[in-house]
Amino acid sequence: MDSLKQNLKEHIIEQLNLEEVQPADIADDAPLFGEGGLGLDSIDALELIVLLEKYYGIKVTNPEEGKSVFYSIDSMADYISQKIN
Amino acid sequence: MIYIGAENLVSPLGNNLEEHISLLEQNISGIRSFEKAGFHGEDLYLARIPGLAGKLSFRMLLAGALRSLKGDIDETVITSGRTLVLISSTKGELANDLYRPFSDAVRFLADGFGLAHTPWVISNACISGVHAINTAHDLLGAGRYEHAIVIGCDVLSDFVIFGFQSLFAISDMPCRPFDKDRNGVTLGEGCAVVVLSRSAGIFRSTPHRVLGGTSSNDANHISGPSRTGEGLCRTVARTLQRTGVPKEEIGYISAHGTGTVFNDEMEAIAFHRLGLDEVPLNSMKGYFGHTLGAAGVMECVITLQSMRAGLLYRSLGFSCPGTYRSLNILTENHRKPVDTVLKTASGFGGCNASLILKKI
Amino acid sequence: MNLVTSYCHISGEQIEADGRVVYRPSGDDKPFLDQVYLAAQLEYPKYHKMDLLSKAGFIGSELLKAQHGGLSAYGDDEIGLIFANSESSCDTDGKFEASYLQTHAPSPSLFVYTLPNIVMGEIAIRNKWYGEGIFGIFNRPDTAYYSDSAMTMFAKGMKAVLGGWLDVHNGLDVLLFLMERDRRRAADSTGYPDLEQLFENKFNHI
Repeated sequence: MDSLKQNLKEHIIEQLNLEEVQPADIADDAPLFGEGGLGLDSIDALELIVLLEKYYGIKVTNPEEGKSVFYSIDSMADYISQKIN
Repeated sequence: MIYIGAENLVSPLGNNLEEHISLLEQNISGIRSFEKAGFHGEDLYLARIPGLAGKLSFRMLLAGALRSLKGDIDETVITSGRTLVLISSTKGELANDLYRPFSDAVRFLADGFGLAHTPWVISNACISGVHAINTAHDLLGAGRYEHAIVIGCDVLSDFVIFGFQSLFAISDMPCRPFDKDRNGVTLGEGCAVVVLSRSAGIFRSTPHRVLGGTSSNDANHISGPSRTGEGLCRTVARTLQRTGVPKEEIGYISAHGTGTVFNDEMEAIAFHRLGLDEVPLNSMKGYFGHTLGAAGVMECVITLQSMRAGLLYRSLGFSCPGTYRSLNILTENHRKPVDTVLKTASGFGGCNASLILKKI
Repeated sequence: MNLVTSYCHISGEQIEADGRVVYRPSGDDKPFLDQVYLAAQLEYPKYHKMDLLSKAGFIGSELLKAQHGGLSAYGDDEIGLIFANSESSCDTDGKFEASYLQTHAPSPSLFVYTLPNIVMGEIAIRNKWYGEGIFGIFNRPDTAYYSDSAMTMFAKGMKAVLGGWLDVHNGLDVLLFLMERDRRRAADSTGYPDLEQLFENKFNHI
């Protein structure tokens, strides 16, 4: 699970061009969106959908579904491990 | 005084304005389902022009638009040194040359018709068309040119279709602007032309007047519509103020109405804030989809026609109110003399534009 | 009458503002604009998400604002934007095309930059400017486009316009300028280039 999270953080930083962010800067339970977290926005959410398909082969067809999944690194990792197992 | 007329268009509904009129009166849509048009091979609703294909369709449409003017205006205007041609488009001839999407088509048009000045290409996302007409109006008003020909044109491509799919912005049914069940745009393609002039005498049929318009940015987000309708409010307020038209005189609004949840909500908020929520309003997107850079010119062409005929078209795709602020959306064709009309547009990059058309 | 009150010219070799070289690339392997972003301490995290066209317009407009010093005196809808280039948004268009042709995953964050006017949205968002904005596409800089657009924007209530040329795909070829309706440079700046001279000199500067 930890390596999945580390892996995920690296993909997010790359896919979203988060230049000044290191994987260690992203807390597993911190909100990815909005103020106080990474400050991602609606386009980033769509890019995370692309990321899930590209790196984990998971297809999200309804962006609404993404809302709870993309809350934090923890919630994303849970979702991914559920889908691939 | 700046006159506007000689309007014409090509869309899935027909190759000229004449062909459009009876279909619009019967509320017939040009939107169809196309097999395997999507990125994952899924069927998609689109508004494609039958038979339009090939890398050079953009320039052929531009040339057709200029040729269509020959019966409608004094022909010498096209090549006059006092005439500027403006082209409004987002992607131009992308299919032919992604890295110079306008260069060849513009040269083709200028050389082929012997235009006196190199055409201006105005590329401001979905407000391009309204913006190009405003720009033409302003240049004529300042005395820089005597006439301007504005051509709006965009053709469909995988590029644009896959892009809107990646934003989850394409409707799974023909688009339904302002309806409660709306869930995205239907992409379309088309080409439209209008002529602006300081002289009413160049037009074969009585022209209307264009009083001018403005643009304003939301300063909020590059792809998401403003939650407050700030930019749209500002441009409409500025347009009313600059043209000296009291808002009570607006008899009809030709809105943008793309059919996405957030855009239509934004427009409803803005019209409510402006006190224009009771004015009869429609979106033409249900007839020929969202034609991006061509949309503003195409919709002005239909509006000019509506003013001539005294007939406002039903807002196709709308049946149940679905915005937090209610609007007076046309659920049936409406016979009514219209004297003064507001046209609006909003687009990516947070841009908004508006203009006012008036009968002579 | 010369209405240009500040300008900045960005190439791959240097940035020149009002006749002085203000930045040159360091030996560092970061792209030149990113070096300038750091050196100028702009601190605007959204910068990193921008495409090259928006980065160039953003950096140029920030430098012009600093050079001028007094733009904040204008109202939020009194500054118009007049941009143009020859290549539209082709730098990002090519990348977006590759995202679906090669990686088989159309990228939404690339797609939203596949319109040339997005750079004006970025500048408007950064500064909370609600004014007019126009983006034109020409084979080469057309000074009549800038002067005519400035004139008509001034007639519509804009008091200043920030505009310029933004080609980025084959190396940075960027020239931004500021024109003001009611302000002129001091008399001691005789020889300060007007719009025609700016674009004439653009290709063979210093």
